[in-house]
Amino acid sequence: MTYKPKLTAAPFGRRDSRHMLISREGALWLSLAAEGAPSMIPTAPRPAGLLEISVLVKGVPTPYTYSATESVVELKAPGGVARITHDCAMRALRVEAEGISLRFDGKIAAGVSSLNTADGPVINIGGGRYVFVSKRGKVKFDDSWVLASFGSVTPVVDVEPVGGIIELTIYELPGDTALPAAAKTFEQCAADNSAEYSAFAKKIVRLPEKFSKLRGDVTYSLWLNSKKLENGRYCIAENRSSSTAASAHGQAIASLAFRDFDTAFELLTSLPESSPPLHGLAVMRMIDDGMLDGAPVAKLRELYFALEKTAKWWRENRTLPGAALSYYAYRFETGHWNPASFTAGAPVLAPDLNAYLVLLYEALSQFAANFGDAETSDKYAAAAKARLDAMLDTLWDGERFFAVNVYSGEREIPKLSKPESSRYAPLGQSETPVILGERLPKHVLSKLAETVIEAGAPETNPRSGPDLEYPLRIIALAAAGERKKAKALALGEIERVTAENVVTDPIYGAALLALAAKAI
Amino acid sequence: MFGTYEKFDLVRAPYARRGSVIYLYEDFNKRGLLRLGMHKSGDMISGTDFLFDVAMIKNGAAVPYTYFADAGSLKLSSGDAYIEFAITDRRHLRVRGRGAGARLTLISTNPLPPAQSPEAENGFEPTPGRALRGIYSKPSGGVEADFGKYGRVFIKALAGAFHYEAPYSGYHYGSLSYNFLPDVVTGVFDAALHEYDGEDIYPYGRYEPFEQLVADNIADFESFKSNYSPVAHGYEETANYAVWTIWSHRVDPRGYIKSPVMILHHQWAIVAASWQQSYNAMPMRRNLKEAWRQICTMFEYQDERTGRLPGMIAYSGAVAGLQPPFQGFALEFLLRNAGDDFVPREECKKMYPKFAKWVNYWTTYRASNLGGDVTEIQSPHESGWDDASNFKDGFPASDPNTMAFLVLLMECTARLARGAGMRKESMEWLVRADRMTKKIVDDFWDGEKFATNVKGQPVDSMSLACYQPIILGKRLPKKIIDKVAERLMAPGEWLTEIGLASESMKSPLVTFGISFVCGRVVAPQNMIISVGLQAAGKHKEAAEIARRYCDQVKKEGVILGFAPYDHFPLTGEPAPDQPRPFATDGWPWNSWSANCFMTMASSVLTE
Repeated sequence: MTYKPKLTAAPFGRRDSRHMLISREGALWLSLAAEGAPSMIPTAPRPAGLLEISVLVKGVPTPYTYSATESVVELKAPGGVARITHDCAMRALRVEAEGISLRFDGKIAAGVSSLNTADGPVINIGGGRYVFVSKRGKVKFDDSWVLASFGSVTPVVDVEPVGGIIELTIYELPGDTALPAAAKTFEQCAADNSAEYSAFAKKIVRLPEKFSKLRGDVTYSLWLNSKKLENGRYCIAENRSSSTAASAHGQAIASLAFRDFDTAFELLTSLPESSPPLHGLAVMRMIDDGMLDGAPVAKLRELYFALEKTAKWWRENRTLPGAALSYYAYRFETGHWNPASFTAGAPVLAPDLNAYLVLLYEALSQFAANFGDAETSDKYAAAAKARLDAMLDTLWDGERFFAVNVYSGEREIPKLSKPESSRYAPLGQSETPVILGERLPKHVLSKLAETVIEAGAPETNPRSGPDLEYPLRIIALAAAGERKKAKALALGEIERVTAENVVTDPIYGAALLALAAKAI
Repeated sequence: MFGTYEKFDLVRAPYARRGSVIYLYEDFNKRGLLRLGMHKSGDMISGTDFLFDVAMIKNGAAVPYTYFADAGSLKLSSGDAYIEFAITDRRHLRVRGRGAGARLTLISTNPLPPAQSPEAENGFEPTPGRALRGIYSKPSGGVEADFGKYGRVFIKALAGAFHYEAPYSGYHYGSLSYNFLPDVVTGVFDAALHEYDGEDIYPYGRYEPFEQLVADNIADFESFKSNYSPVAHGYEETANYAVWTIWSHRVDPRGYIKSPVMILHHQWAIVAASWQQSYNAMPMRRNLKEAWRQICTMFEYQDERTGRLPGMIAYSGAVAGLQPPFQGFALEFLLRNAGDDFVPREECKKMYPKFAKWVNYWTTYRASNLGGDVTEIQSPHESGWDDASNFKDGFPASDPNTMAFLVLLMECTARLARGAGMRKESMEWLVRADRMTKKIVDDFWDGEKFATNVKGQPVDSMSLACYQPIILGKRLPKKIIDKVAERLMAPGEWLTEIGLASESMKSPLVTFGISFVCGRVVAPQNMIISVGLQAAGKHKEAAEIARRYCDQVKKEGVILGFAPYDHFPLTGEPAPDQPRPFATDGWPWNSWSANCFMTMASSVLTE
């Protein structure tokens, strides 16, 4: 299962490695995934450890082309070739070249300290520490210290072939760490990387062949952006290349792209406290797909407790005493920059939030039932029903769901059918309760389905990113019996996104995979 | 202490309190304007989205004010009206007023939007309210606001009224102002402003009467002052400022920080530097238990595998880097000046292995190939001499200063071993210390100075660093001690009217611009060398250096470094000034300079 990443859109990287190669201004740059290391002088997040890679022929920089698979990048220039792959066990990149010299140039770095050591050049640069070790090849490196700049001269590592060959290892290791010895050949490392990618890809939902490009792009993006947290679990980061951010509700959406219990479980428990509380929806999807069948009891219990904790938080912190409905206190709790519900002013009883919580309580009810605790199961089922009833009583006007200000009772301003400008385009929170499907009275579901169909795709808002819930609404539409229309909307959305050639947002990508799997 | 009509204002010194992240200061460019910030994000005031302009409001309009601050509170006045801030150690401050209201307006000093900012990507102008993510009137009363990485703020009006204005543009908040209004009948307002990171307000007990809080703050400061020995006559007022600076930079455990430490600045470099914790121990001779805790505090973060201590720590974690093994110098100073019995046996048992591991970190991970525990450092920061000319030939460098610190650390490790009943180990450490001292004398003293060695060659340098091994005191041969004292006291080189310059005035490399120790007169080096000379028996010279430096602090404030001249003596050319305000040694008041002053004023000057 080979995938060919387009490096102008996504870096060459892999799960479990900090090394990345990114394309900038026609050249490849070595960089490191962002890490949240504190520093004395705070800096804006950006790709760390940037070193431009040049090909030298007879000491002169020479244009080169490059291509990539999920496991190897190949640089070609007149007279030679270089290949690069990850060696995760060594926290290194392995480089082999023939007939050309290579240069790694930190020309845009600042505050670098570097040192020529017996092992090779060591460069402390932008939150990372490279160690260049040449098995074959002659290394030239100037580590002069410049007093006035409190640092070294611009680091430039030149590696010339010996006997026409370069074999180079670029570690990324903390100080005071012995360099691990290479246990595998370049080819073995490349094969390991391919195998790891293939194993990961097998966990992704199955799709028809016509979606193979979408599936490949998203799978690679999910793999690349898989990040191990301190609790030892992987989550999907928003963009490891330049940010340390990973959202909890993003994990719930990402889990929809996986068909195995373990990966979905890991994502949901990596960042369990989600706002908006989408974990119930994600778990209900797992239940519907039979993913919990045969799952280890300990993991099921952990998931159950995580959901209980989330429910408790919303009950204690975002629900007035004795009230059936919960509210958002802050815009960001919706997952959006400019949610429609907040036109009523904060805090707001919002239909999408309460729909998510209905599913959360249902999931809890099912877990409790499976654990043989009928009493608790009934209690959660009743809570789900009471919330749904309250939604219909309080937030449904016969035509649409709306949000209400908790204190003033003021309703949200209805969504404009044709927003004047995407800048103020509210998002489709009112339609999101369609995810409740047949739990809703038929006339309500029909009306919501009609509205979702009529509204079509939300206008793209570059500031707020894609509407992550839009694919969820189409999936719900399909489940509500509107399969044909759901399919048309799904195809339209996938076409729109893939027309841009590559999916770079791993979370929205995951939502699209789920959409393709469920609605088409 | 600080104020419009006082000797010092709050332009360089922040107004703060022990155990709080909240600070207030006067803006350099808009004199008369106070600003309120919180240091926990690590942002410098020159690039943050989280500062509040403080306005005094009378009849609906902002009016000019004067101010006065002491350890109890900071009071702004306009005629008979006033507003007053008192910071607690329970993560909130109180603000009250009479005859006037207060307005806190959120501002951003970020010169450019962060690269990842959606504003930048979409052509939006950053707004002063950009840090605000949401604001929420809680059902239980009071208003909570979320500021993302800056945490949350909750405001509760205790008397008078409070309201806020936070217009939302459909994309982000344009601005935010908090308005505290006096009661129409009494003319008084009183409110609490809490800061916290997660969902929950830090337990604050109860809102005490404002006067009680002010009195408690003063009492807390007075209690803290009792840690310190008296200073030499004539320096009492400066000592009050210095101890206040230390007190107000002492932060409580939070995030990665496990026990109280002294941060360097509130507004600039918001870190607790590893070696500076031991500096803080040195003048605490009236509370040796606390002094010992200060020396030991960084061992809480010691790397299990290597024995390494972090270079600095912040709320968010350890900051990369390595700082000198200064703990031995500080402990040896205390043992010499305060007696040999303040570290109890249990403490010796607990800390001996940690000290031993720390020494061995240096002799293992910074070992040179010269034998005898001789080390070589990989960066100037590992010596404490960041841009000193003895490092002009690069790295790795065998630096006699770092090794001199190691000698004292080995001796103190021996002392702890002895205190723990481990006589054999104690002797072994003493042997190692002696052997290293001999190496420093035999291999690094060239007859005139201690020379750093790079790739087998001595570095030609006129840095003051070449004399810092004087900290070995009487372990050094008398002829070396005499030579060091003679060189340092000779006119025209290092000794200036305000203390020892860090580079000889005859050196072509000397600079007073953006530099730390390549010419400027800097607190730690003056303290270390004067203490060293004192230990070597050169009391008169030590006191003279200390007097000159302390007089400068008395005059200019608790600043880290000073340019000794407005021109370069070697060439006569005018010297560039440091930019201001900036995080350089020549600008902010800071805890490091304060503790150096206290050590010199209380221990070196008294003789």
